[in-house]
Amino acid sequence: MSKKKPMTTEAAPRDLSSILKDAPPGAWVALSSDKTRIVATGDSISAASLQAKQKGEATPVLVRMPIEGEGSAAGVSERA
Amino acid sequence: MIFRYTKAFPNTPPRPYLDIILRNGFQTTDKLMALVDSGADYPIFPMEIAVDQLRLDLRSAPVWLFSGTTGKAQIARLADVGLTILGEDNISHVFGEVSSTCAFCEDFTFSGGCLLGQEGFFSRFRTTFDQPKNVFEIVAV
Repeated sequence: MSKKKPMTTEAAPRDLSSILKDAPPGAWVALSSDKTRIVATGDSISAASLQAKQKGEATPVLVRMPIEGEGSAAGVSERA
Repeated sequence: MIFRYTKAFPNTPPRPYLDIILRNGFQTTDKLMALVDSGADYPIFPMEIAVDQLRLDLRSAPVWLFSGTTGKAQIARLADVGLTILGEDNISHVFGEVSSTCAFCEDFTFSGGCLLGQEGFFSRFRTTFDQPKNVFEIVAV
């Protein structure tokens, strides 16, 4: 009988929360490529991306902020 | 390939996010943070990504009607695009690009912005979560 090899030892999660803490709720945020700072924010992906590129960040990473107090539960499935 | 969970926002717990790029021909998206979500049937993205970044014409694309926790019906269009997963360094392409059926929805406003679901992501990558250790493993099938 083979024993399943443990995946790895415990790791600290990557923490972006201190970087994103002041970003506007619901906004799209363009992070620097190394994810160490916010380069731009906008109401849309295009707006945030364009601003970031105008500021010299050629390859921003885009993420949408939750609205105030928003959590996450379950996913989305085909509707019967 | 092992990835760490990411605590993305101040009031949410660490979650399994990946950085990805989508491609349609010569059109590619920006790098996008996407949540690995086994509860989603397909990878789901805002329609803006299809229209503005991928230049997809979805007028005759298959319609997918879905609902989330509220039960409210939402309409998405399905399209096959290239999906590339980036390493934690945000540069390396840790797997080759795979073809993935993705859903694009006009009124999709999920926290984080994008989801990676069953058909198109989990069908392409064997995914093992180890939440107590804050890591998950992705293996190309």
